[in-house]
Amino acid sequence: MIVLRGVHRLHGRITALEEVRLEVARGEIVAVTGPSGAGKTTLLRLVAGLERPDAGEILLDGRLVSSPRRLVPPHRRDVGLSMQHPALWPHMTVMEHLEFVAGPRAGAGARKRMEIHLAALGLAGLADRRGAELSGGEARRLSLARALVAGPRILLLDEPLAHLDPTLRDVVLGHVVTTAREEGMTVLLVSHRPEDLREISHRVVRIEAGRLPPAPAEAP
Amino acid sequence: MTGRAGRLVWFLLVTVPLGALVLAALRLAVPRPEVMALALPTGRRWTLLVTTVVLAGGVAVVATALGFLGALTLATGRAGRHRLLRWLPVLLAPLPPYVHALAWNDALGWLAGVITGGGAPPPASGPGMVLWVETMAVLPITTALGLVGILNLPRPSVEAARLHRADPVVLGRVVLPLAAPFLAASAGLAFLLVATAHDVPSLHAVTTFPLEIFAEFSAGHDAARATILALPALVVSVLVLALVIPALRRARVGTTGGLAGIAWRWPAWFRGLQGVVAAVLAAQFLVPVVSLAARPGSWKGVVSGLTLAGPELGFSLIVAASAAVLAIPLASALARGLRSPLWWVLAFVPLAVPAPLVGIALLAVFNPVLPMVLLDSPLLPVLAALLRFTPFATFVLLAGLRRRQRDRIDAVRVFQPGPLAGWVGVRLHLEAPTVLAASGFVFALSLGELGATLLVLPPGRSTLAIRISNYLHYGAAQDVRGLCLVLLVVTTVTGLGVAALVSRGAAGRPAA
Repeated sequence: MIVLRGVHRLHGRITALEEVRLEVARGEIVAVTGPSGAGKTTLLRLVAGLERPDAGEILLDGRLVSSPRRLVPPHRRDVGLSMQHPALWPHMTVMEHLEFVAGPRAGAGARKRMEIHLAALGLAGLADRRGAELSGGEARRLSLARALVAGPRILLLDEPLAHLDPTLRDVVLGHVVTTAREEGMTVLLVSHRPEDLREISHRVVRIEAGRLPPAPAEAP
Repeated sequence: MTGRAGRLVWFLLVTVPLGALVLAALRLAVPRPEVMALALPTGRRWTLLVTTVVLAGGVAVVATALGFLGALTLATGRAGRHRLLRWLPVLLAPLPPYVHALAWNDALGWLAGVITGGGAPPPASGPGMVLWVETMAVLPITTALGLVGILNLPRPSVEAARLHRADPVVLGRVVLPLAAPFLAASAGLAFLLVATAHDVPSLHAVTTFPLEIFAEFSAGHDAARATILALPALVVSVLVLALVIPALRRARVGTTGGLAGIAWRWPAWFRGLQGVVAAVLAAQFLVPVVSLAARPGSWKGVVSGLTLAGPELGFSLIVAASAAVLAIPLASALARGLRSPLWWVLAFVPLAVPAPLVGIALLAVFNPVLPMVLLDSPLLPVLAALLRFTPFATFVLLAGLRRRQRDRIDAVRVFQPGPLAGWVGVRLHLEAPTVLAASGFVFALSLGELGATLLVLPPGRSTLAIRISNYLHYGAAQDVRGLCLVLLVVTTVTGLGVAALVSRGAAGRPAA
């Protein structure tokens, strides 16, 4: 479960997010849409722990992970993130990317998961290829596999369909959504194209100029 | 000057003097093959070669490790958040090593005096002192390269790693491999700077191979013998250069912000190590400044030194300014034309040539053919400075060129009303900081050049560096401190300008 309470974030003098309140229930898939510069990526980076809020709190599964005074490091949040740009490690092979994420104590089960994700995302034949040698679409799919492979409780996807061939979009999105549902992941994904995400999301929220519309009042 | 013309001039500037040396050596060796025995480093010369390689290798390893750790501390620590402050420890990069030698000798002498309760302790000497002083002299350069490497790491890739593993693991598995080309370049450059100069070892009673080359040429003025003698040192330097060039070619300069973001978490032992490195970096900067500026008599020495060395200072400024101006079109042409491996070698091969051999090569070519009026001019010292320091300017311009996104330049080409308007309106704004930084770097390095200038000076002329070197060897402590202080002030002012320009360039945000 993801909870943002009055989160405020400044980038220099620019207000990136203002008083953002959002709740994503466990296992829910929520899409955030909005124009460029609305604060979508900043929202994901704050949940991932890559930025610290200037005001407000972020809770993951009931644990306070971010506030102006407290910041749980990203690697202790059990979060998977696929960034807007693939952000690969050019010196590592495809398999080494997944092994790095799985950690040194990854056993046979983890290896099996790696193979499943590679196969499902069409990367099975590229396991020995280095990050720098992949095409844009391959890099994007590896970025998604990397986000999924550790089986995080919370999955964050920034423009997950960018750089993907239209013929691959459904396959890739289908695999991500199936995995997330099977493993009960809470998913927060952002895109500036709401039509891409409507079908797979339980809920779509729109962010503009760093503000989310107020949540509907709870039923009495 | 067009790129092709600039590259042609550089091609001639490198190949004609070095070719003349090779030709002279062949002319001597073909009829008298026994002279090639000089090229075999046996007995004393073997010891000198080993001493040179061990000293240069030791400095390269220690300075690169300290430089990287220092850069990491500056890039991720609180002090490093201020862009100009971040570049402060690298301000003294162009300060000649012999000024560091004087400062550290003074500082250690003072410390020994305090410990022993007074008295004048003997000046420190030996390989250990050379290793320390040379490390302090190249530390600003290795720190600068470490900083450039770190600041240009692809931030998203680093952040993607921080999502999954603790910071020390990210450092070892992602940051270090990504910064490796810069670290290799840094170690290689440090090695070449130390292995090709003899000023600091000779001040500390340590003989190295470049001094042997200088001594051989001074004894008989025979360029061919000196070249044959220099072959082993050249082979070592060229081998190191062969490792540096692929690293420089691989080094990618981005605009994504390196290790910025949330605070890095290090274990206690690593924080302790960072503290030690920060102290060494501070000492590297403060010891020359305090030792020269705060010592009684130094400022008086500026006046008396400048009175005595006024002509030398004037001549040095002419040489340094000419080299700083002329290096830019050459370096610019080279940086834009580094397409084939051959051009990479041609651009950087002077780094592998011992400084005295650069002077000998210029004498071998120009002494017989130039009229007296040109031999009396600053021409040869300027050419020596150009040959030795244009590779540094090329490196700076290359980094700037890679940093600017090609799209921006292409956009100017498409939309400019004319080439001049394109230059004035956009390209000058994009390129001026790097060009001024490269020029400032060459100016400061040329001002302190010694090894090659010693041989190519016109009769009756001298430079500030030579005056200081003479004073260092033969006394006149107050004057030498005064002149070193002049060099320190000029270097620091130039360095501040370069740091401001570099940090301004680094502030550029990536294109959306």
